[in-house]
Formats: sequence, structure tokens, C-alpha cells
Amino acid sequence: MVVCKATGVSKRYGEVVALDNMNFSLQESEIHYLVGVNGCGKSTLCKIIAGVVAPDAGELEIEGVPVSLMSPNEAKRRGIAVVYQELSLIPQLSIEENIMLGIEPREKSLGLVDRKASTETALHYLGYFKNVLPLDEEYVKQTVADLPIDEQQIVEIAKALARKPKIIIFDEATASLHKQQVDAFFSILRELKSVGVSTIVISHKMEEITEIGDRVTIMRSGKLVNTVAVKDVTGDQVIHMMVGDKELLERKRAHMDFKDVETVFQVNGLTGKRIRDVSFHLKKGEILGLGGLQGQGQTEVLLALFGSIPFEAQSVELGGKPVDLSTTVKAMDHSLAYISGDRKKAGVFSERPIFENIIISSLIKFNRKVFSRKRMNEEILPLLSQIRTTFGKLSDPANSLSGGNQQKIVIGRWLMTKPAILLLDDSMKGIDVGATKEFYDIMHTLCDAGMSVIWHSSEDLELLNNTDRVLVFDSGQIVDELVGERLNEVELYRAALDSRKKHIAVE
Amino acid sequence: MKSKKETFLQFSKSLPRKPYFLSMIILIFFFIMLGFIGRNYYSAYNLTTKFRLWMPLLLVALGQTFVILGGGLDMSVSSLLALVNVVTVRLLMSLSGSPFQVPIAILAGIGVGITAGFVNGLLVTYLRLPPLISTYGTQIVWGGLALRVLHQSGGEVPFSWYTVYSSTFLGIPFSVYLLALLLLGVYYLKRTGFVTQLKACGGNIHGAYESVLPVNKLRIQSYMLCGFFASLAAICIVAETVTGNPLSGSGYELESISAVALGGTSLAGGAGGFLGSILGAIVLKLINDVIFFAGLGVNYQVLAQGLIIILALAAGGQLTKQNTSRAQLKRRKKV
Repeated sequence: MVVCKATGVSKRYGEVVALDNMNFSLQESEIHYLVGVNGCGKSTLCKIIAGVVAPDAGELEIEGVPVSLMSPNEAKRRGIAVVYQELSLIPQLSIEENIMLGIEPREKSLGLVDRKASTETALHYLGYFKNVLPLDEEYVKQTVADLPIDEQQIVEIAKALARKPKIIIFDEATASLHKQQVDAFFSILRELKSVGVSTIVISHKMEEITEIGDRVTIMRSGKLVNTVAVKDVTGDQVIHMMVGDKELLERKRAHMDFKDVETVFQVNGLTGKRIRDVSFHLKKGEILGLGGLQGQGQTEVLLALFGSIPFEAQSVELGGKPVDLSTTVKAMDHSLAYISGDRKKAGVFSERPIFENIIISSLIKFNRKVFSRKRMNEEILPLLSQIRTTFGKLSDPANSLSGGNQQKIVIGRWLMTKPAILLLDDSMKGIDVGATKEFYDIMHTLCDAGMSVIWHSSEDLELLNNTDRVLVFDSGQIVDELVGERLNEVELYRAALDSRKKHIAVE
Repeated sequence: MKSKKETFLQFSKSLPRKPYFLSMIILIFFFIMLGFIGRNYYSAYNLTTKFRLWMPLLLVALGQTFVILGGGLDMSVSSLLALVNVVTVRLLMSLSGSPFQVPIAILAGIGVGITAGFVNGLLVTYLRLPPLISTYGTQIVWGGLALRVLHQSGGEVPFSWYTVYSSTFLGIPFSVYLLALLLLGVYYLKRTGFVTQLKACGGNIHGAYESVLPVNKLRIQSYMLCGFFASLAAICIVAETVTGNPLSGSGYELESISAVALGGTSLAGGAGGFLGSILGAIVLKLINDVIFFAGLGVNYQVLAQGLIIILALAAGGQLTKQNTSRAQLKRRKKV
């Protein structure tokens, strides 16, 4: 029996098409995996099923009944539960209080919470994890804020189970779990299956799919690629379906050999928030990419190097000499520059003139207190034409420009500080194709002139087509390095996903 | 079963981790000091009088605790005290001679308090106004209404009110019985899960929605409870002063919030408790006595009060940090 069916579902966010005529069906007591590359629409589909997002078009049926404009609460009443990666727990409450929140067992007479039954129920649902948790009555009285992230994730799972759902969606719920905890999670999936509960699992762990999945649905660019029985496919075939045809690769940058080029930047044992023991080097004129699944520590590496977030490192050497990059001003003084893709939050001062937007950082770097506007213009105008910026007057506010040109203003600002190393953090996010292409050309020209770039992008193709070397990140660590022929999507995803297999095998 | 000694040991060990630990230390320190410098501070007469005077702040702080745990703030309690005060007094006057004079006046006062809380709750939940500003607005409105009802201090209140309010039974003052009864009610609300659900709204409102809690209803109820407690405080003031005052209660909004914060309740919502607020309120009241008996002069009272609040809050924050790292350390040792 089909318990949930989505037909022709579409959803747009502004210009971005998140789901395009997507079809999906979930059988009773089935473990259904949902996979796809970054931003393929998996999460959007789940949010539509959970009633969190309303589709622009298409139909949704739950247990054979068409539903339209379903609210999250109605979805829950129909027995749909979601376990998110970002937790919905109340940090200040105890484990028991979180699991039983809103479904407290009550004594008949005064309507008081039956504390004994409540503790027992909480322990019952945590019981699946009895091998990996020190379960007793004291354990469930602990405050959730005091728990490590993996145990919080377990509490979140137990909380969803305690609501006795018919359909349960796990949105990367195993991402922060250890091997033994994953085993316990599998036993839950099997138990749910045996009592007729259907599960949708979003996961990037290939070996999970082959171990426990019944069917797998592969998505790409908001569209359905295929839904197949797991026993009929191999992990490699799934990756190929996720990534699509390889002919799309349009590499502009020639493969170059940096073996004999001098190393300008060397980082050893960088550790910090979301970063674990990252070491790499950067050659003069090289473009180094930071890739992998989203949120694996790439942004944090860039922020740490730019002195924005605290870190520890064995050594950070610039041109062979150790340097202190603990604050952004120090990083700037050592000729580093960081360009964020979040233009509004960490880029332009939108109400201020273009002129001010461009000079602000170099004024600080070169400690210029008094300057001649005319002489500044002599510096600015060639720069702006070099990066092909279209603007009216330098005194116009920055928000009079298009998004692409605003981003170029930010680039111009940092180029004026004459950086040796440019840190790009998804810098071309949300900018049209034309401006993006120009941006790539600019980067290539600047690198040919001796600048080096460390580039993180959530667009895998952008990264693969414009860099000389890509470091693949997983859980804050570098798990692979792609050079030359290996710079392609299949290798990138294989590295990003395979590492998890090794990671688990070791533990 | 654990022996009594074990239970006591366990309790005393967990004490430094309680959020109200700091207020308790300050409180004990103050009490010891007053034993030395306060002349006859511990006489039965002085203590019963003091407790009666503390009563309004204790009640308002209890009510404020509900609102703050739910992630809100009630700035309007001060004017609400005044409004309930004058409504009660006006009714007492106009119903003079009627056998239902007292119950009607008291019930009407409480009704005004609960209704005002309901209005505050509506503004904060359904109109989604920020609590600080919207309850500041209603503070002005309640104050204006109070002046409409009674434009200057006065009015006659039967003297029996004072006699009852200041009476003692078995050596314990009336106000202590009243407080005990109310604490029993608070305990009941804790046992029904109401307080936990309220903390959930204050701790992580998205998580509360995600758990299908009636978030708006819970938050409105917290404001109504605050109004209820404020109206009781107002009635206590009427009984104490035996007159009406449309300006009574000024300053109570910030004083009650300070008491709640001193009691270890997070002003961001979600964590804390009622016992702490009571301790916090008594600390605030004792500061004045300590300064008075130390011979520092009234002019220093305000200054010292401010400094002690800031010190206590800073130390409290430090304590929370230590507790967190201690919990993490314990966990690491286990592993």
C-alpha cells in the first residue's frame, strides 16, 4: 500500500527552482532512502511532506487521501514525524521532559503528570540505544544542554518515536552518530519496519543504503532521476545517477604543473570549531579549491585563516615565515583577503557610496588618515575597469548597482589591499551567469600575475572547472586531494561519500 | 530506599549547582549581619512586620517568574498594582454596608488583574508585539485608568482589613499562610507539566511549536497568572495601608524583574524557578535594612542596591559557566 505519494510537485524560491515536477511514492513499512548532490531538492521534498513548506504545484496524498495546504500540526496529526539535523530540542529541559513534551502521561484524579510512567516511557524509547548510553533514571534527568551533540541527536530520535508516527522522516539524522549508535539506529529502522511504519531517510552514507534500504530515490536539480530497489543497484551506479552526465564539464583553466613553483602559504594542524587537524600548502599562482558536501568545515577554515574565528595550529607559515593570523587586521596586514558570498551581511555597505565601499579596507591596511580623493580615483578607476564593473558615478550608493556589480565592488575593495592570497567563500552565490563567467576570468588573470586563491564553493562544477587542485572535506577533515584528471564530479562525490565508509570502518 | 542522611547529603551536594545558590549565600550573609548590627531584628514583632511589607514584592516576583520562564517580560505590573488598588478601594466605598462588600471588592480586583494579564498576553502572542515595549505601553494605560478611577490618594477601607492582614495564628502571620497556599498552587502547576511546557516556550519556541504545544495559550496563561499575583499584591497593599493610592506600586516592575534574575532565572526564558525568585525578592528587601543598620544613610541605599544587583548577576553568570564545564568534565571522566 502506498502511504505517501507526491505527484508533479514543484517549488520555486525566487529564481531558484528547488523542485521541478517531482514524483515520489512511499510504501507501507518501507525504508526509503533519498539521495542527491548538494541542493538537489531532497530537503524541500521532505518539508512539503511534513507540511512545513507549501508546494507551488502538484498533489500530495497521505494514505490515499489528497491533502492540500497541510499545516505542520496537521501533518503531525496524520502521523508524520521528522527528525531534523538541526535539533528541535529545548536545551534547558531534561531528556525526559523533552521526549515527553506535550504527550505527558497523566494521573486520572488531578491531571498531574504521572512521573513514574513518564520516566518509564522515556527510558523505553531510549531503550534502543541501551548499548551506547548509560541508561537509568538519573540519566534521563540530565539537562539536554549538557549532552554532546550525538546524544542530543539520539534524544531527538526518541522524541519522534514517542509520538508513534506512521511515517517518519530522518533528515541526515545519522550525520553526527558513531558506528555503534548507527547500529542502534538501524535496529530502530528494522523495528519500525516490522510494525508497519514507513521511513524516509536522507543520507550521504552509501553503505547505509545497501545495508538497510529497501528502495532508493535519486534526485538531481529538483527532478526525479530514478526510484529503484536497492538490491538492483550498486553504490557506484547510485553516485553516477546523482551526478549525471560527465560531458557537462567545461573546464576553461588549463592543467598546470605547480611542482617547481614556490610555496607561499603552508598550514599545519589547523584545528578549531568544526575543523580537525587540517594541513595543506598553497603555491604561488595556484587556485586551491575546498570541496565536499556542504558544511564540512570549509567556510570555517577560511574564517579561521582570516582571523574571524579562533583556532589552534601547529604552524601557519607565509612565504616560509611563521605568521600570527589571530585577528582580521593581522590577516589583512599579512596580505590575506576574504570575500564572502553573503554580500548583504558581510560585503557591501549598501547605503554608502561606491567610493567609500572600495577604499575602506585599504585605508585601514595602509593606515591612511588623510587622502586626496583625486589621487584615490586614479587608483580606483583602472581597478574597476580591470574587473569590468559597470557603474554610474563613484558617489552613487552601492545598492544602485546590480548584485554582480556589487560583488565586484567588494572584490575591488580587497584587490586594493594588494592581497597575495585571496580567500573566496562561495563568493558568486546568487549572481547571474554573465557576471560569474567574468569573475572566473578575473581570477584566472590575477593568478597568472602571481596571486594565489583558496576557493570554497557550494557549486561543485564552479569549483572543479576553475581550480588547480581540490581538497575534499568531510566532518572538518581533509579526506582526499583531487588533481589533474581526477578533477571531476564522480571523483569528488566518491571521495566525499567514501570517506564516511572508511571513517566508520575505523571506528 | 535512601536514608535521610543520604538524601540530605545529595541535596547539599547539588546545592551549589542550583541557580539560586548565590542569592541564598547573600541572604544568609545578610541575616547574620543583621543579627549583629540590627537592633532587635529578630524579634517576633519585627519579623512579622517585615514579612508583611515584603509580601507584595514576593507575590509580584512569583507572577513575573511565570512570564519570564515563558520567554516574556511584564513591565505593566507596577501600574496594574495601582489599578487593582483603586478599583478595590472604590468598590469597597460604594458597596459600604452591603454584606457582599468584601468578597465583591476582592474578586473584582483579582478579575481586573487577570483581565489585564490576558490583554498583555494577546498583544505579545497574537499581535506579536515585543513584550518589553507592549507591556510598557499597557503600563501607561493601566496607570491612566487608575487615575481615572481615583485621581488622588484617599478612600476609606474598613480597618478590619488591616486587623485580619496583620493577625497571626499559632504565632505565624496571616501573610505567611497566604504565601504557603500560593506556593502550593505553584507546585500544583509544576506537577501538571504546565511549568515545563512554559519553559519549553521560553527555551526554544520553535521546538515548542515542533512538539505541538499550544504555545500562544501557554504564554497568555503566564501573563494571566502574573496579573493574578499582581492583583493579590495590590490587595495586600490595600490591607496594609487601609487607603487607596493611584500611584502605589511604582518601581515594582523592575524590582520584580531584578528579584527574578537574582533568583537565578534566565531573563532569556526557559530556565529557573520560583524558590529563587522568593530568595531574590527577600535579598532586595534586606539590602535596605543592612544599609540602614550599617549607618550608611538613606542616600547610599539606591547606589548599593544597584551595585549588589550587578555583582550578584555577574557572579551568577560565572557560576553557570562553571557548572556547565563541570558537567562536561564529569562526562569526559565517565567515558
